[in-house]
Amino acid sequence: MRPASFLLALALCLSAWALFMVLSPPPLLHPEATLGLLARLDLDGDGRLDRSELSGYASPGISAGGYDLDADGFVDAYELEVFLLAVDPVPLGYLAFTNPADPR
Amino acid sequence: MRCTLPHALTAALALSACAPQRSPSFLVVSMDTFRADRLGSLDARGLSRTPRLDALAARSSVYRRAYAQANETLLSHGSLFMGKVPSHVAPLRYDAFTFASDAPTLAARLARAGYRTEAVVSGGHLNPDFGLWVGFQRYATTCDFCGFQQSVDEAVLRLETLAAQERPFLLFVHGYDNHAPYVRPSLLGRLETPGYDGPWLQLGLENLSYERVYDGLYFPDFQPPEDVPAPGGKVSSPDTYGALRRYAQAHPERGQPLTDEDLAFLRGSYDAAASLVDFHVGRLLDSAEELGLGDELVVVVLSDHGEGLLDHGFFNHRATLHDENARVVLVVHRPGQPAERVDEPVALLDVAPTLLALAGLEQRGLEGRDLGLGADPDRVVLSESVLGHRSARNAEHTLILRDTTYLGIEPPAALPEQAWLGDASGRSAAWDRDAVGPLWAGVRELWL
Repeated sequence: MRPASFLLALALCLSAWALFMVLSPPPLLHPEATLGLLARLDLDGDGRLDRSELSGYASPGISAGGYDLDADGFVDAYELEVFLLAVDPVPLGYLAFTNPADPR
Repeated sequence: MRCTLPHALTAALALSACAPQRSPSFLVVSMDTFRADRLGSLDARGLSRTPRLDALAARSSVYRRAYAQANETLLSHGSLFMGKVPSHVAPLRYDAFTFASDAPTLAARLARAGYRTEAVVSGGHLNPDFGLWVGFQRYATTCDFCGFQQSVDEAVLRLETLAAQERPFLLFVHGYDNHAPYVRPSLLGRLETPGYDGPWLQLGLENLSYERVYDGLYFPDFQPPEDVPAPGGKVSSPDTYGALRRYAQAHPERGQPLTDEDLAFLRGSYDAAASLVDFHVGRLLDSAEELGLGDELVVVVLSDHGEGLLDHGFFNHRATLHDENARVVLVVHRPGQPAERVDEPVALLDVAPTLLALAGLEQRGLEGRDLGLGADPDRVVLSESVLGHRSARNAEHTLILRDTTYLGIEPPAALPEQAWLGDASGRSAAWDRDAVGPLWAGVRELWL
């Protein structure tokens, strides 16, 4: 093989690898737990949650779109894990424990 | 003397036998308000919402009848840390229950023996104001009344630091995920009851709403008693539940029934919290594994009390000492020890002597029992509450005393207002003086 052909083949391989890495979701940090929960929720068994599945689970007013990071219409395992690891925006807010300066 | 190879080998063996073993480190996880029967391996419904905890339980000692010594966070953790029933720690009042600065807590005893002692807690009654920090060299509150989502993040960082040190350590981690309000809007806010569209989507966001439900009826006009003073703030009055019951009995027409769907949603929200606890505690266990601590880390997973889900009228834990509130999770993983299921009653105050025994330290002054000694078939486990309730449990029965004036083994005049007898599973049983006698002896020892 001539050096130019070898370099071209190498460049193609590297490009394909780079494209694969860009398109593949990052590995799960906690695959066992995340995939276990996903399996419970994934009613049609396609390995991801579509809008119709999520609309039942999500609280009214919570848009699944915010968790669909790549905007492909689905929440996949990686996006579900991101949700689970993100700090819940709604604090538990136990009202009975009050500050004296701000009594109930 | 010539040093031959056999001599050298013998000497090396002797030295290794005499060399002090490295003391084990301890990871203690406290799941606030987590009912024992929501741990998958103890769930009588056959459901598993906790696969990660179940996997830990499968290779650990699981105490199927473990009981907290109180039905709320402050007293229960005080008892856990001191290894004594709450009334032997401090007066059972929110403005007085605290530790002296030199209290011989589990953490203080370990620290004196060279352990590094740290805690990552989630505020509320574990806020430093309440004084349960004694003995911890670092006591971090991630936020007030939050969950493991936050505390595990911090705990993982601490675990990395602690694992890099030569010293053994105690790391205590706590989260309020299962505490009311159970309802929290999120991507999985209706995890157990998809599509639920009832009024409790909104009502369930407020803790006060839960304090207005009695026996399946919601009393929107009920006003709980004034909050009572406590260090650093106020807490809701323990008389809330008595006041609610009296109100409900006086004004039954004002109660609005919760539908089956409402109840399923509220209980499902509680169960969903258990699933999320499992995910986050699983992260912590993953981290310990990745840090290579598996062979030397003793892991204790417990809950400080349970939660009534209308089992005896209330959505809360402070109202009674029945099993839904007093029975707790207790899983102890000791590396190298075979898994076991223990059916005899044990107590959360057994945790301190058990860990001290594993560390090779004295257990003087503690009221619990080293769980490593095996089951005690004659054990009587005692619990208390700020309402003056007392309970005693042995292998066969449960006795709950609601009236501090009742002092006998004969049937009290006002059953079940004054006293209640149940079987080992917490089901109501006919009064039996032969059963009450040994239980009463335990209560009398505690009380008189």
